[in-house]
Amino acid sequence: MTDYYKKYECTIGLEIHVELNTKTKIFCNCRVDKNAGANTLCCPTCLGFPGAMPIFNKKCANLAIKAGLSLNCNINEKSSFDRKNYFYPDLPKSFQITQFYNPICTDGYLDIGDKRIGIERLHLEEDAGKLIHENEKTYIDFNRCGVPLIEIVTKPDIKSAAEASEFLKQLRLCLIYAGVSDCKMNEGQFRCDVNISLKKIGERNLGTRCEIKNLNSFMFVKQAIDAEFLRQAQILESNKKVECCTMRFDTQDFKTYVMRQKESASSYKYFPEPDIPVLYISGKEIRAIKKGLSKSPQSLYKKYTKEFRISDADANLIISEKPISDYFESCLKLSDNPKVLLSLITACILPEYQTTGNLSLSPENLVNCATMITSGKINTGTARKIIEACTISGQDTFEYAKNNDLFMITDNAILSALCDEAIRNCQKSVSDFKNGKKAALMSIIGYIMSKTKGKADASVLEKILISKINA
Amino acid sequence: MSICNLSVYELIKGYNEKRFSCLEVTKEYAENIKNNKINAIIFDNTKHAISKAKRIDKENAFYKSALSGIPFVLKDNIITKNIPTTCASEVLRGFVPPYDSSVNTKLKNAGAILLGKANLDDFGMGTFGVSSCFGKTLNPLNYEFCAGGSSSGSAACVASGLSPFSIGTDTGGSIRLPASFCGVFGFKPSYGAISRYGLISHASSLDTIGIISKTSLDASLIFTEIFGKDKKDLTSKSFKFDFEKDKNHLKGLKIAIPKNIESDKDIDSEILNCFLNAVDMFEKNGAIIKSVPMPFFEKSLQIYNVISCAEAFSNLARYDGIRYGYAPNKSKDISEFYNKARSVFGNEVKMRILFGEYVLTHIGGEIYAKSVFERQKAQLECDCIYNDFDLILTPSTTKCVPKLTEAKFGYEKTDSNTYDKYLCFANLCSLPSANVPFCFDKNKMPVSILLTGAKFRDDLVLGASHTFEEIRGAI
Repeated sequence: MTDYYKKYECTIGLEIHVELNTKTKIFCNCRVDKNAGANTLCCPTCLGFPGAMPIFNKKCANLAIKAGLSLNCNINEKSSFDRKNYFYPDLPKSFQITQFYNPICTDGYLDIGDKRIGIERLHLEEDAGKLIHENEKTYIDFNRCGVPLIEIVTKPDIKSAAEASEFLKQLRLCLIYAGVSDCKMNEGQFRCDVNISLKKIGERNLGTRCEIKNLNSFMFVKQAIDAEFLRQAQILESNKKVECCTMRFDTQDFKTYVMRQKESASSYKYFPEPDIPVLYISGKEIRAIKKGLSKSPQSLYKKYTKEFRISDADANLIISEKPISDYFESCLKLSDNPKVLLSLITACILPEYQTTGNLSLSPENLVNCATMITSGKINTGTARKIIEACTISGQDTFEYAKNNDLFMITDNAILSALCDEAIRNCQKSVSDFKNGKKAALMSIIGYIMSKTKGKADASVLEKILISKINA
Repeated sequence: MSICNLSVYELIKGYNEKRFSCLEVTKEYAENIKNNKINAIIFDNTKHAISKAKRIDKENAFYKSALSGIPFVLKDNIITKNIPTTCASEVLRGFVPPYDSSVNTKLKNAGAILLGKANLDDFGMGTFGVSSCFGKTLNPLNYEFCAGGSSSGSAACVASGLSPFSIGTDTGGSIRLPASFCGVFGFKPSYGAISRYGLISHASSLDTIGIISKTSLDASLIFTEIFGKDKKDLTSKSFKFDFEKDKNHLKGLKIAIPKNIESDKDIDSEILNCFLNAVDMFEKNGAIIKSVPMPFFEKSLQIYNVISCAEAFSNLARYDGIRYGYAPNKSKDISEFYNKARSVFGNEVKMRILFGEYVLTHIGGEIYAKSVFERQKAQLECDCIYNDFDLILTPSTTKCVPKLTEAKFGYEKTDSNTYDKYLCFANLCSLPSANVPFCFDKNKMPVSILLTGAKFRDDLVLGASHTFEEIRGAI
């Protein structure tokens, strides 16, 4: 297989369908709720009954614009809807209302590291129903019919499975931050189709494209691309032609299989949807939406790594969950010691969120704790204990530290007396240290720490001890 | 004078003067419907109608609106809650909707009384009123002749005393043509005037709900009650409607007629004579008539056929038997199920669906795209004419009412079928258009003229029709 990668290169474009988090559907007033009983969230419009007509849920346009802005797209002030006509039991009208000719957003990009992946278009459309195969019968649940989707189509800029996976991770995070969707892949809120073609390295003309549909995890996307690369390479090696078709990826044997011949655009008989007028969005509306947009994960990453000099890994850890980065940002409004805050969040706040989904300690409270560290009142070990206790009790961290006498000893006279006492009681360690065993100093410090219950600063003790011993 | 000969306007007067009760009126219409031989009614709702009439009399609810206590029929391609709606097709035979159309709700709330659902050509596709799964509708003036389509039952009811007015639909002439054949007033409003929610779509950018009545005055009364923007229909619109009953609309009215219409070979000579006499009458009564080139008539039929069939192909794709409608008993797979479910469409419907798919597919949909372009061109040409003129006056149908024996499958789509030539441009350009009966042909069948106005000038079209009717007198 390694030989193939030396001989062939692939060109990949992705099509991602994302469910918008609105309360109601895009073309009718039915609620959106994944927990509802089958066929309980339907009406004549989303069931395609005779004489029913679509209305338009404007919130869907707002979310599509948010998504487009977060992906650096042009927002088209004029866009329109079209009918995509085909027959399938999960499609009640036998056409899907989509945006073929005039999508709401075009020409954007998303950077993954140093590489820029172009976004061809982002448009609104409605979801179809769900077919359920059970007991050799097929059932249809129409609850999902009419749920609003945005379809994001990249330019064929992706050149490897790794790039594809990284792009999808960044895209998903971007959309979560923009407040467009929860992007839960296991609930079908973020679905990916891969278009891939192969050509000999250095050749100008692209090969024949195949589409792999319905990949619902990043791992499957990677594996499917690898499998399809192998399949197409083998075909080309034997001097045969790759047929344009739609594939599915088998998650048991990790191979791609042909589903059907790929449809061309004219077989969908696209034409403008006559029941929905042209959609006009003013520049004013777009600016208002832009103003309300949260900072993108990419811009946060830049700020954390470049301004705060936080490590790559730590920055990604904070950004990977929006509630955590929101929490961090709230803390930053009250304090300007990002590194201390970061270490406390990683050690105490993030684990609680990951296990319980809660963020019990308020940002203000955490900042109080961080301030105690920077002002030398406590060390990080003590801080963790304080946070643990206050997370449960809800108490203020400063109050807790004060009431439990946890502040560090800063009085030099007391510290000096402690060192004298330690030197007297640790004669062997003192003489070991005098004889060159540097580590012996640590055990003297340890003795003082256990006596003071950790309320002394180790580096200060070290200085005092060294000067006393050498004197 | 028998109650069923009264216009809506006269009925309202009669109610106000307490000359008869709502029950008397409704009972007379119910009796006529029971005895009718023209097959104009698919679903007889007279039992409920009589109950409603009794209630209206009891509650003396005539204050509700102008239409309180006025009976009507609704073309059976318009949804009525809990009342069968079939589109005159086997596909929807027995379909009882649990939801209502906006126009029926409005009429119901206004106190109008639904007598029944009127027969039509299935799915609104037909010129002669012979393509219904419930059988053809006969012309009440002479049973040997066609009632016209697709609003065959609606027009026939008004012409034969089965209903004082009816609601029909017009996609390429489907109100105005049967109104012409039956000798009654047929009004297609501006596109978007009356909400299409609940109208079973044929061609969504052309379909218009309209009114068939004895007079244009009736139509304006009814129109006032049912037009306006509806949030359930994004294409519906409200606009100013100032119908002036007592004004002489013809004085100074600028009317354009197609240049060289005398040399149009598609028009029967009797139709042409009638038309020219009408032109004379308009002129003698103060209208200013000018002959204007109207090139869009040459292509309007072809453009109409392409666009209406393409949209029909898409609108009728939902009838697959899965959620409602006719479903086949045994099928080995989904393909066979679809084939069987859709095999029960009428022949005219099947032909239009296939043609619609063809124009959307052939050379990537080029035929459809070209037709859309030509339509926009026609709209611009019309706009130009309405800059200088108030109305366009044309013949209504191009040919005289045919006998039933002349109307057969295939006839609809041959070159000789140009009945809609002067009718469909009003649909293509979204204009208000009225069919006004004028005289009779040698078979004593009615001939009408057509008045078409600028978009949203429905009041002017109805006003001019009203004045013309008064001058014409009773026919």
